[in-house]
Amino acid sequence: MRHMVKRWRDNDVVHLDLRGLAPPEPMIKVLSEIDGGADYPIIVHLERDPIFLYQELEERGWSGRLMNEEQNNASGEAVVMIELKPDVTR
Amino acid sequence: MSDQGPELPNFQPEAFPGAILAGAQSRLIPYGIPLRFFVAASMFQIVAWGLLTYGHADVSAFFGGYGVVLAALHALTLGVLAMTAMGASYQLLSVATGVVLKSLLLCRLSSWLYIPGTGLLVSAMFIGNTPVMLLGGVLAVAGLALFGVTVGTVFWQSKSLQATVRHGWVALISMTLLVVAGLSLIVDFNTGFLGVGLLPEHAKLALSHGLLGGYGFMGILVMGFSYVLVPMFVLSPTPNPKLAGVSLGVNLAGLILAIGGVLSGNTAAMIVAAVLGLIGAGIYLHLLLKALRTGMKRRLGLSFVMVRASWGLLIASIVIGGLAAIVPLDFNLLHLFGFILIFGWLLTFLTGILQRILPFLATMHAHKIGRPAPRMSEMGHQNITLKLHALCHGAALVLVSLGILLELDVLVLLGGGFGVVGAVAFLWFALGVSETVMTLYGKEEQSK
Ligand code: HEM
Repeated sequence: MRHMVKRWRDNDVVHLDLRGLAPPEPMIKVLSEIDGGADYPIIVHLERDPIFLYQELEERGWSGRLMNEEQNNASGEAVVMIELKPDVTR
Repeated sequence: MSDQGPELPNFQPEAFPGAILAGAQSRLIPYGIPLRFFVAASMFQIVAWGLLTYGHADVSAFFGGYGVVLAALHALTLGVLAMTAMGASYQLLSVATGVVLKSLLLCRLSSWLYIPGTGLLVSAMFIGNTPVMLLGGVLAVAGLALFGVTVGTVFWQSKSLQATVRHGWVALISMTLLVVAGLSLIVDFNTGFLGVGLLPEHAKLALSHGLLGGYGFMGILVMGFSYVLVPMFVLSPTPNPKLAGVSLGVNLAGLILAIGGVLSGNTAAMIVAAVLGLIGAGIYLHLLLKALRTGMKRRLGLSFVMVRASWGLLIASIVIGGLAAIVPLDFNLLHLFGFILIFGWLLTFLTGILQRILPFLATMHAHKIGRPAPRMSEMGHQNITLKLHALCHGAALVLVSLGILLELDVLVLLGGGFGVVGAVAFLWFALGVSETVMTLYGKEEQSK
C-alpha cells in the first residue's frame, strides 16, 4: 500500500492524490491545504467518497463535489472537486 | 423501500434534484435505522434512571437476583449502552471502513428483535417473571446475534482500521460469552442448576457476566470505536495501531484474570487484573489524549467534556474494582464499582459521543440530498438540552455514588431524580436533531 501524498498542478487546479492513507489522514491533508491559505480549486483523488469531509469544507466556506460517481465503485477511486464558494474571498 | 434515505413513504432519493451523491453514498444507510436505536436508547435512559430512583432503597442492599435494581441495570446496559453501540456501528463502521453493509434487512431485523426484547427482559426483571425474562432474553440475544453477524462481516472484509477491528472481535467474543451466561442465570432462577458439579455458582457467574458485559463487550467495543471516532471528530492522525494492540492485549489479559479470580475466589488474581486493567487503560488514554493534543479541532465542546470525564471514571472504576476485590463490603465498594463502571464510565462516554454523532449524521444526510445543513451546534436546542443533561448527569453521578458509599438512600433518590431530568433533556435533544433531518427530507419530498 502506498503512503505517499502526490501533489501536482494542472493549469489553475492543484491535484492531491491521497490514496493509500488511512482515514482520517486524507481529510487532515485536504484541510491543512485549505487552512494553509489555498484559494485555488483542488481535485482530490481518494479511495472513497469522503463523507465526513463535506461538513468541514462547508464550515470553511468551501464546497466539495464528487466528480466520478458512476465509476467510483468500479475503479476504486473517488475524485472530488473542492472549491472556495463564489461568495467567499480569501 | 429505498435504501438511501429515511423510511418515509414513497421516498425516492434518486429523483431528487440535488442528489449528486446519492449513489456513491450508499454507505450512508437510511436515517431510520440508526435513529430508531438512538431514540430507543434515549428513552431507555429515562427508564434506567427512573427505575433507580424508584428502587433507591434497594440499591445498597442489592446482592443479585431479580427486582428493580437488576431491571435498572439492564435498562441501562442493554437499553442504552448496547443500543447506542448498535446504531452507531451500523452507520459508522461502514462509513469508516468503506465496507458496504450487505443486508440492511439484517439491521432492521435486529432492531425488531432487540428493542422489544430488551423492553420485555427489563419489565420481567422488574416484576420477577422468569419465563417472560427468558422470552425477552432470547429475543434480545437474537437481535445481538444478528448485530454480531453484520458487524463481524464488516470486520472480516475491512482492510483498514486494524485496531478497531481487533477490538471488535474481542468485543464480539465477550458478547457471546456474556449472553450465554445471562441466559444461564435466568434459567437458574427457576432450576437452580448452577453450582452443581463443575458449574460455577450463581453469584460468581453473575459477577463474571457483569465483568464480561462492562469491560469485555461494551468496554472493549467503546475503546475500539474510540480509535476511529475520536481522531475523526478532533481531526488528528490515527493513534498508533501497535500500541492500541498492546493496550488490547493487556486489557484482555486483565479481563481473563479478573473472571478467573472471581470464579475461583482468588483475590490476588483480581488485584493483578486491576493493575493490568490500569496499564491497558493507561495506554488507551495516552493514545487518545495525544489525539486531542494534536488534533486540528481545538474547540471540542461539551461532548468532549463528557468524554474526558468518562475517561476519569474508567480509571476510577478499575481502582474501585481492585479495592472491592479486597474489601467488597466496606463502603459498599462492590456496588459503587458497578455503578461507576456502568452509569459512570460507559454511560458518560456514550452520551458524550452520541451528542456528537447525531448532528454529524444529520449534516451527512443533508449533504447527501444537497440541502444546506443547519449548523451542528444549533441542532436539538443544544444550548438548553445538552447543558441541562450534562449538569444533571454530573449531579446524579456524584449523589448516587455518595448515597452508595454512605448508605444514604435519600441521596440515591435525589441523584436518580437528577438522572431522570438529564435523560429527558437528552431525549429532547435527540428528537430535536431527528426532526431537523426529517424536515430536510420532507422539504425534498415537497420539492419533487
Ligand atoms: C451489555 C450487556 C450486559 C451487561 C453490561 C450486563 C451487566 C450485568 C451486571 C453488572 C449484572 C450484575 C452482576 C452481579 O449481580 O454481580 C448482571 C446480572 C444479570 N444479567 Fe446482565 N448484562 C448484560 C446483558 C445481559 C443479557 C443479554 C442477559 C440475558 C439474556 C442478562 C441477564 C442477567 C441476569 C439474569 C443477571 C442476574 C444475576 C443475579 O441473579 O444476580 N444480562 N448483568
